[in-house]
Amino acid sequence: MTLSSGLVPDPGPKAKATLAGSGPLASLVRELLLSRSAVIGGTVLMLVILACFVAPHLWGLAPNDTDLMTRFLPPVWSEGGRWSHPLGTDNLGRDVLARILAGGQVSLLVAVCTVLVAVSVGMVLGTLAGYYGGRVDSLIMRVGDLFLAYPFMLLTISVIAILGPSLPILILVLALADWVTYARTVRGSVLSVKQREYVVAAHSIGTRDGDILRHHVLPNVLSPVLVLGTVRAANYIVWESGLSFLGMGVPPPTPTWGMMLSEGRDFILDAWWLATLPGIAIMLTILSLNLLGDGLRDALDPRLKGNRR
Amino acid sequence: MVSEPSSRLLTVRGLSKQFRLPGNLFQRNARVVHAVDNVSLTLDRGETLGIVGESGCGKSTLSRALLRLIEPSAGSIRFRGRDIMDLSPAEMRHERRHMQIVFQDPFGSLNPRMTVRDLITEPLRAHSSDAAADWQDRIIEALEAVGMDRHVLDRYPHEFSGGQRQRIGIARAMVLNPELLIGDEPVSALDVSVRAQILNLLKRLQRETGTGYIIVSHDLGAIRYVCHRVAVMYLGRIVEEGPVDAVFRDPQHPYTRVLVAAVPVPRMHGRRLYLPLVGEMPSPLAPPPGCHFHTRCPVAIGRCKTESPQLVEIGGGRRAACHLLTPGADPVSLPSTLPSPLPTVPGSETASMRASLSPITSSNNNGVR
Repeated sequence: MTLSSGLVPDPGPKAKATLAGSGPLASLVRELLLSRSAVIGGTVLMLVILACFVAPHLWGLAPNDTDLMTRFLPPVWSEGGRWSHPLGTDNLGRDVLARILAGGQVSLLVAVCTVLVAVSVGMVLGTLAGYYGGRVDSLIMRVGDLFLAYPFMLLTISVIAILGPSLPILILVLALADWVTYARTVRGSVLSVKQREYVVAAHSIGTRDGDILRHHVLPNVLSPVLVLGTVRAANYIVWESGLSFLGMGVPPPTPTWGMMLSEGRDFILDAWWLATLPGIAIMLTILSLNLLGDGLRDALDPRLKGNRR
Repeated sequence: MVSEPSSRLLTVRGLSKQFRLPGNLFQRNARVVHAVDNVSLTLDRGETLGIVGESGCGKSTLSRALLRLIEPSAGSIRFRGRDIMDLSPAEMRHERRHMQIVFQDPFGSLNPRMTVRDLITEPLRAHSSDAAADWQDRIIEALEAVGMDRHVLDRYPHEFSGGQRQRIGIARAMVLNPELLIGDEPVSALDVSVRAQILNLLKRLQRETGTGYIIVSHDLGAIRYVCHRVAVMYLGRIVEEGPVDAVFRDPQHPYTRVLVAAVPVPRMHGRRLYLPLVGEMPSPLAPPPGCHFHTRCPVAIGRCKTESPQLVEIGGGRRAACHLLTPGADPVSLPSTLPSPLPTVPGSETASMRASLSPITSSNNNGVR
């Protein structure tokens, strides 16, 4: 974004040396710092988060102030742009930069919280279904099929109509609509891991079920879920905009990336920046999430230890 | 009940395992695979029993059924004086500390995400009541017992060779001092040069700990080297059992004879009878009636097709399941030594099978040299 690159922490050999602590967390961080994709992804994500949650407080941006005299101002690098509105203004003369930063607060919160809730539910149910199989499996997966078969919009509209629109409800509804994706992935991984000889070996040793799940099954399930979660996060930002558009999400004056995207679509020919810039913000966030997810997955795999690029 | 000698560790009676294959839309009746069929065996403390047979004869299933890793369909398993078939899952979990298994594939049986320390700690965590601080010594002791040193503790399985991995697998199995160790093809996946090391290691550990072993293998040489007794399996049943030297030197059951004769020997001028066994092992989905081996047996008689032979004492501490070997059978009907020409059984319908067996003696084996 527009913040200076001086904020980028230098993850060179110095950082590696100072993190000489022991314990699984320190070693995980060490591994992450060795991975170029994790460092880039983590840095960009950190910048986005700082920009969205800290910058507005420092500079007192006003995302909802309208000024009809300065409508459709282009970004500062285009002809006619002004430094008072670095990324231009929208159809009501609102500052696009301020709106992107403020909108990021909601969008990031929705994306991250939805992933967390949906992954937790999906992991627990998927693991139960895959590990215990039989009736438990049938029950969970049939309920999942029900959720998949039920139209997402109808589900959310009915839930929000009953409970009323609010941020927590929005997150719950999005998670409710998508937990099946994770549950199915987790179940599949658990089924394949369960057949591995080392799980049979653990069972023959007399390891408790809980320990087998913790030490043998979950670590193998984590990487597909990490990848899936970072990819699905983009969808939640867009879904949220769809719901906001229908009046089921965040109430209108509050900007979100998805909402700016759909509003900007109407002016795409005259004011390209209105739809493009929030889109870039979404893309940048998802890309960094993906890179971080990739790095995390590799860092969790001991077979790749020490020979990362 | 017949009283057991106090040295008896394991008594298995009538163990069977059937797998039901799911039927499909057009085939409602589920098909049943008889992987292990009415197997009885015993094992004393400090003794090693080998189980040999072709691939698919049920020896791996048997090894897992003995530990209830695969739930047997029928039979009893008396281990350390009580029937483990009656144990609840929780009791069974506790009992597992006394019964361990070493797997064939040292790549697959060690979790790649765990260090050697974690791997050997796992059995201790599952069973030991000692404080975690005391585990360290036991882990190092177990590692040193298998010939590895403590520097490898924080390494991962992929950093080791197959033989070293198998040592880790053995250390893990032996760290709790089990009374029974089952080896499911413990050396089959290893280089020939490493096999002897692992077999010697197993023998040494047995001398030191008195653990009873059951070693499952298709490698007759390995079985002969480590085992005291051997049981030969064919299509889910034990066909012959006895002291390993006696069985291999003088096999009685027709199947054992063919099996022993099929062992390749690195000798240029050997006088060997090559007895190719014709046909494939019948599908365990539809085992032949009577003696399972009659479809390929060179000396089968009419009775073999209808009546299953029982595993009976044939003297010298040996047992065999063959109608021709049961007391009262015609002694001429079976050759007493292997290289002699196979006998003609008068009136038998197996003439064509005998013909296809075509024994090649050393006299017409010259072209191979």
